[in-house]
Amino acid sequence: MINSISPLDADNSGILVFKDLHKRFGDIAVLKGVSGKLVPGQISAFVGPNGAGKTTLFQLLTGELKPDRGSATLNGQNILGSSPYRLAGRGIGKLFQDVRAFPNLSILDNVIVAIVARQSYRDKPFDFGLVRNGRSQVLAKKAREYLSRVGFDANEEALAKNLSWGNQKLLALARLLAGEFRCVFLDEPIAGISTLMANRMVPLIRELAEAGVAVALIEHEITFVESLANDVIVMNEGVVIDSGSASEVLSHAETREICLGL
Amino acid sequence: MNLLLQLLANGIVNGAMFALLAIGFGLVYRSLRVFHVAYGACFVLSAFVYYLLVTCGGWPWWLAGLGSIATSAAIGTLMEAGFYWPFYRRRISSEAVLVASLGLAIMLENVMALLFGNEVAAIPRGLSQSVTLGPVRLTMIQIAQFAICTSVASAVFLLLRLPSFKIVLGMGENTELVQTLGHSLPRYRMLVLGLASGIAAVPACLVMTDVGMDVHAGMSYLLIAAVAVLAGGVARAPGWLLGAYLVAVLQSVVIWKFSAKWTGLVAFALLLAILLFRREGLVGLHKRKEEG
Amino acid sequence: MSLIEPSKELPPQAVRHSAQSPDDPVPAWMLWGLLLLLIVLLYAWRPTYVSHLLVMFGIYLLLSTSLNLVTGFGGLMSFSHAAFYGIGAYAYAVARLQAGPSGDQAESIIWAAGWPFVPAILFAMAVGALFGWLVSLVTLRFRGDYFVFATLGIQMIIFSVLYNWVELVRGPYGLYGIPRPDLFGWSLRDSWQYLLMLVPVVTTVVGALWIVYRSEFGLKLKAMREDERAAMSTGIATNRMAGLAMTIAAGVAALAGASYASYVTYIDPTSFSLSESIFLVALLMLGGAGNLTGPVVGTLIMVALPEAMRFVGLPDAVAANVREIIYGGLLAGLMFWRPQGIAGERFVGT
Ligand SMILES: Nc1ncnc2c1ncn2[C@@H]1O[C@H](COP(=O)(O)OP(=O)(O)O)[C@@H](O)[C@H]1O
Ligand SMILES: [Mg+2]
Repeated sequence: MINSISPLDADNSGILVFKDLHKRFGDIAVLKGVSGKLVPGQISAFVGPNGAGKTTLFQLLTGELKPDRGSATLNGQNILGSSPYRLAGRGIGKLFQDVRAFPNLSILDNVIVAIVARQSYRDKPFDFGLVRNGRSQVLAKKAREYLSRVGFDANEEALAKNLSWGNQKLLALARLLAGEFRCVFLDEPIAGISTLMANRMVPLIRELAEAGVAVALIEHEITFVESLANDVIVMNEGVVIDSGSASEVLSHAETREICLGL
Repeated sequence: MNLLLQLLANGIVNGAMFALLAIGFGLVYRSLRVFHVAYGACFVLSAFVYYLLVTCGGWPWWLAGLGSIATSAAIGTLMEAGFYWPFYRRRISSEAVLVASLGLAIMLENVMALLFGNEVAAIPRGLSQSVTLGPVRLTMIQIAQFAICTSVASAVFLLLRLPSFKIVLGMGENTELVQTLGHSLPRYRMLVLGLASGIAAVPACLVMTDVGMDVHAGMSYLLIAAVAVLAGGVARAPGWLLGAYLVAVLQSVVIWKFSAKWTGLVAFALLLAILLFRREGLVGLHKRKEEG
Repeated sequence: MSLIEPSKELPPQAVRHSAQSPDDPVPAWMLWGLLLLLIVLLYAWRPTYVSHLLVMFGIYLLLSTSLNLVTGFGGLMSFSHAAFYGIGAYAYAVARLQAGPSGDQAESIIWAAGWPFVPAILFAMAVGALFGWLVSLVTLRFRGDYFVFATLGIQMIIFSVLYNWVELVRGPYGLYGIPRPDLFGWSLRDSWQYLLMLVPVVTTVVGALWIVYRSEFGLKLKAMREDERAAMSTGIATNRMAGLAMTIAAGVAALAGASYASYVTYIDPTSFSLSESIFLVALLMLGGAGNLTGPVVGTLIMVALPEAMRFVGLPDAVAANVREIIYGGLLAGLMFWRPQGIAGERFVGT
């Protein structure tokens, strides 16, 4: 099951490789040796029942948690143990399972934050760049572009907390786009939103991959997995029980059972 | 060497009193998730109630002590019902509740200053006899302090082992637990605050009988209780005791080496040092939840 | 954790403009209020009284606008602001006091430099900022109630040092005879002249802080306040931002302290106690933290309050306690009715 890593992977192609990741919370081993890789331009779907450890895996790879054991590299360079903001600076972005839009900021400011953070995390850590009138028109214009890319047509001055759940997810996606990441982790981007919203979300995720981003996706709904994913990694109780190309994995009866038997 | 033993003995006597103080604070922080800053003010209030009952009321010390405990418990219960419960109902963050409690503490302190003045009050007592045990000399009052506080602490620990009190300790992790077991959450919360305030009244009366205190002492006693609980480890009651004794012994060493005025500073520096290296305190459960 | 509420699903168009922008210009009623206050004060025509109030207003404006950066923007409830205020006051005092002729006092403190006004002010700000940075290194390891408690403890430690280390700055006896400002050989004698110097300083600093509020830095702090994990995932180094905010805030608080020391010429530690820190947080929360005008409104109300109480005619001894009771009650009440005061971005009234 463990993907072997060839020396070829250690190049500058933007591949994220993780190997043998272990994590336990107290007495509970949540991840027991998980390996895999994310390839630019490809959507890898992580499926498996609740509690399988998918979110925990994403937290390890985005710097929110430290693993007990294992390795993970981006372009051959270690990413474990770095804080989330450093990893964001190196091109790793994330959509949280619980969304986490900035509730008391306006829709526009939510996106501007991401643009500003991206512009400054490398060379200008202490940036007092004036945001005239609360924000510069240049920034606002850029932010509007991202908002229109996700098809957001709500009042841009509305506070994020007043948005519906689906709209908050869409906003979080716009914020993620504004980060211009090379590798993104989407933790259940489609769950819990209306079909209308889901139908908007799916092509956006596909576009992201087409633009050359490595996309990791957690999704329970098998139809979305079928329509989106290039690769599927099936997890259960902290281990990868099956992985490979989407058509192959999804044809396995056992996998279908685990995914559908939620 | 002899001096060291004497300091240790003094520290242990104070530690027994701080332990009770810490148990009260720890119960509230652990079970209610309330950082009870006004606890210090409650402590001072119960000491002054005792003072009034003894000096003005002419009550015998034990009756006045019981009166003070009862008053303190009543005030604690009232505080929960009238102050913390409304905050809980509104799901206000623990941080905001801490700040509100700080406001309450300031109010109480100044009301007491208006009522009792700013002078140090102490129960006048005759020359106290002392007992010499080898190199260590303890006054009768110190012995009484230690004996009373240790027996009360033991009683509280036994009480908490009762099946019906298990819930009190489990409440912090799982608030729904109380309701799923078919109990009334407000009543349990009142019970915890009443119990904690009653417990705090014991060392309050004993301090009043010995060195006395002024109405502004609340914050330093709160600091002691909070430092003991946080440094010892919030999750487990034995940690609170360890923290309390540690603070007390450290203070007695500081008093000997420097001066009593630095005790608060040293206690707090100790806490920061411990927390920086061990967030869960000395006797912590292995941290379950990492950030997030 | 049930985060999924399908019932909230609305078409995006249904969302209406729901809040005034935090960056709105100063509302007109406030300007009128200010003017009215000014007229009333001048009507009372007690020149030094009026100028004294204005000076205190300026000093507290420095304190509240700087605390706003940490508490209103960064979302970190800090109860050590009065300590930085005190550090600034003491740093200024020892930098200005002469070692020689002022006699016994200067000899009983560790260090008295006898510097001119401007270097002393800059020195005070630098010392304050340094302390702010050091304190941030320790306290920013914590969040939530641990952070609040840590700052509270730092406040008590710094107060304890100022109060108890008599050899340092004479503890409870305080320092007297602190020189008033003299600029280019022109020394400021009365409080109207003092005001002449203070107004440009306060305007510049508060103006600069308003710019910082609106800068990208301010926006990043707000993002941190709103959701630190999300802010980090976008690439914001939240701890560094908060550390910088605390450093700046402490520097400005120290400037306020230096102004205070140079104005009243006598300081003792009781002006920089925990209750002063509480007062500052209450003042900020009352006006509404996290916006431009909140600190101004809060400062106006809180500086006017003691005067109103004097007007009622409470005896001084009682008035001090009553004031503290009011502040404590305000703090508790604000937490209850406006717990979002930290992030509220709006005034209490609106
Ligand atoms: N911070 C944590 N502390 C303790 N246990 C946790 C923590 N986070 C996750 N877990 C546990 O780890 C397991 C895996 O969780 P998660 O990664 O969220 O699964 P998934 O996303 O696949 O549903 C669950 O049983 C969960 O209870
Ligand atoms: Mg999950």
